[in-house]
Amino acid sequence: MNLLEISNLHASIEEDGTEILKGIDLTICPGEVHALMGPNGSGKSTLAHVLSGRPGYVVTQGRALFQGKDLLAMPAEIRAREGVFLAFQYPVEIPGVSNTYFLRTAVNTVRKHRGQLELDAIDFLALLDEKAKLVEMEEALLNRSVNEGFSGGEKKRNEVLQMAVLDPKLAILDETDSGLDIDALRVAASGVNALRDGARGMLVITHYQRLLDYIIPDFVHVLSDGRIVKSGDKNLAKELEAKGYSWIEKEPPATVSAAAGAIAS
Amino acid sequence: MTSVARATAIYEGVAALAESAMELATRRPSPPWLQRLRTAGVSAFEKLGFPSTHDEDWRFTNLAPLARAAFALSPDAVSLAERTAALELEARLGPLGLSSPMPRIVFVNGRLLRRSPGNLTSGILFECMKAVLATSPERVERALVARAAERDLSKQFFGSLGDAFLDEGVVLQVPPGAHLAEPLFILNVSTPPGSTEPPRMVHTRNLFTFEENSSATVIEIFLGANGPSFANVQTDVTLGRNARLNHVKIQLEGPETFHVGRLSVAHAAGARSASHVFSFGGKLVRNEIVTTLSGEGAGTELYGLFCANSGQHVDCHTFIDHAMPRADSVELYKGVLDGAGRGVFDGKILVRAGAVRTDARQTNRNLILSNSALVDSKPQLEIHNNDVRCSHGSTTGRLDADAVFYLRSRGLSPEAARALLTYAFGSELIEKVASADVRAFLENHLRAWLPANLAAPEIR
Ligand SMILES: Nc1ncnc2c1ncn2[C@@H]1O[C@H](COP(=O)(O)OP(=O)(O)OP(=O)(O)O)[C@@H](O)[C@H]1O
Ligand SMILES: [Mg+2]
Repeated sequence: MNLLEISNLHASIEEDGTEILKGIDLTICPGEVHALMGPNGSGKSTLAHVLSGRPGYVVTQGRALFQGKDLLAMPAEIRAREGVFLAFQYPVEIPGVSNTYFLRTAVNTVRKHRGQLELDAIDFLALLDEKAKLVEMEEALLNRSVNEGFSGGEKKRNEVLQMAVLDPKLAILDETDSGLDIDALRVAASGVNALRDGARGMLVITHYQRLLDYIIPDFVHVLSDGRIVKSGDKNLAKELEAKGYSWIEKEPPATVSAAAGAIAS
Repeated sequence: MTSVARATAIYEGVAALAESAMELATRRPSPPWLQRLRTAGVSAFEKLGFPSTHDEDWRFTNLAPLARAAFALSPDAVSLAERTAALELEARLGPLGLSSPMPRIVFVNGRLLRRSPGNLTSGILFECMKAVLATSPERVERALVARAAERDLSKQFFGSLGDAFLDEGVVLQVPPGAHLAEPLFILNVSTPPGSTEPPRMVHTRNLFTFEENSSATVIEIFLGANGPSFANVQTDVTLGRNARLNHVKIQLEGPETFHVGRLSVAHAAGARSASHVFSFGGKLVRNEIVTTLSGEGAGTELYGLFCANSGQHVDCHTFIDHAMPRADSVELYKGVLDGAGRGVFDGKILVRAGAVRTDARQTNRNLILSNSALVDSKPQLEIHNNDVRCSHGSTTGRLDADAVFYLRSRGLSPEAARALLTYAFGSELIEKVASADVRAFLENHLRAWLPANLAAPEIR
């Protein structure tokens, strides 16, 4: 079964009705890593938000199936419990809630939903310790309030840590590389790579080839003005890096979903 | 008193209070100074009347429901029913319950139930007011008379009421250089009256004196079951040079309680105080904190968390008087309002002309959880010299929608997310309390307070 199957997805801003996503078709099979690129404002984060259930958007057409279930009908927290994870482009600071407490609450909520036993404090700390090593996260950050006063890079690493702890089936990483220095990028990427296991699907949103040198994608898609205008393999990203988006925007946006489908099958 | 003030006061209920106070005065054989103090109190509050909302200090809090209700003093003897009810409530205090080693004084409906000095060192007086007035009134005479004379008679209706009913409370005297490691615990329990009895009122008069270089922590808890009651708590503290007071007041009375309290702290040079107020409601609650930094280099920290739901009104009133140079003050009050709950924060900082190098910071933040909850915030800064560092700020808002979504995107239900964020908002003030037992108690209570539609999160 496909992990995620998006067809003809249209979505608008609830407040003013502006259409941002104008017919997205995208299929992710278990184990695949898809990179999503595209100019600023093309709708990459909007797609990530709509998939994760953020309020403020209206889906006007199309659908998204997650493991065959209607993803868009689920409240955000159910999507998370079912295994969809969004690493935020701009992680939110939550003063007064310790990172560790927050993660334990989250992991146990998710485990309960999946019919697994909740982790006690000792088992949880062991899990956290293991995953924190993966992203080289210092203990001090675990005891601090969620993201409060974290540097940009620390916030992004915290997102990867949460992903590792929550063990999602589909991870959407929205510019997890932006704001990371070269070493941090390598660490975060190797954290992500460690989670590639042949079953987990990933949608990696990025502007830079640099990340894709580490996380080598199976497919690359280019989003422009709310549509996927080109899909290809990892070489597409390299071509984009060399030629810029104008190269694609000049091409006719034909048979996009067919192309993606052809590569996927 | 001006005629305008007279015209705007509420005189309902005052005559009955005067009668009750005079009756008490005749029941207690006392030295002449004390009788004078009581009768002066009676004539003062009779003249003043209950403040009305035309009085700037009471603009947001309408006392008419209190003035209209009739309350009676409890008979002198504690009944078996009261004793049983009080023990039951005390047992529910968890880490602060019966097994706590803290020296404690327990009152039920304003009468002494128990005093356990714990291992207090000699030389420290931690005794109930009634016993001190009966056996050694000279130990409190000067302070009580002086405080009554200092009263701003045009204002202090409840202070005068406290003088008029002066009878019970706690006297604490800490000798020079004494440091009390264990907090002193004062528990005030109110139990509902029997079906044939009128609602009860309690007038508490606390007098704490800290000699130079001494320090202690005092924890006052007000607990109550359902049923109407009225508590008027007047606490006067005098801090000698470099003395330190840590004061925690936790107010958890029933939904029909009227509670008016005033803590006033006078600081000598280098003296420091911290006041932590936790108010979880009652029908009408007014907490006043008045700190006078009347010595050089004195300092005060005022912290407050007030929570109100439908049918509750909590009014926090603070006044910091920077009277001398190089004193500092920090103030943080947070309100959490749900349902049709109402809150008030009225905080004033006065920096007098001579109070150079004053450092004063005041913050009020309020969290509104429902459409019908309301809070009035009135921070005031009045500065009379240029050599100061002062700031104040007030914000009122809802839970951050981005934070709620962030938590939901990690699997938390909207209810759990809101509960966690609300808890986090309030817990900042709990973390400022030094005693781990008190913190644990407050954490439990804040969780239990979280509105029913917010699932209580398991914290830690
Ligand atoms: N809540 C909103 N209200 C109004 N406009 C919005 C809102 N969210 C997104 N938009 C608009 O939708 C468009 C797409 O935004 P989106 O954040 O999805 O872009 P993006 O591809 O992620 O860009 P970037 O590369 O800069 O992160 C932008 O023009 C943006 O201004
Ligand atoms: Mg974006």
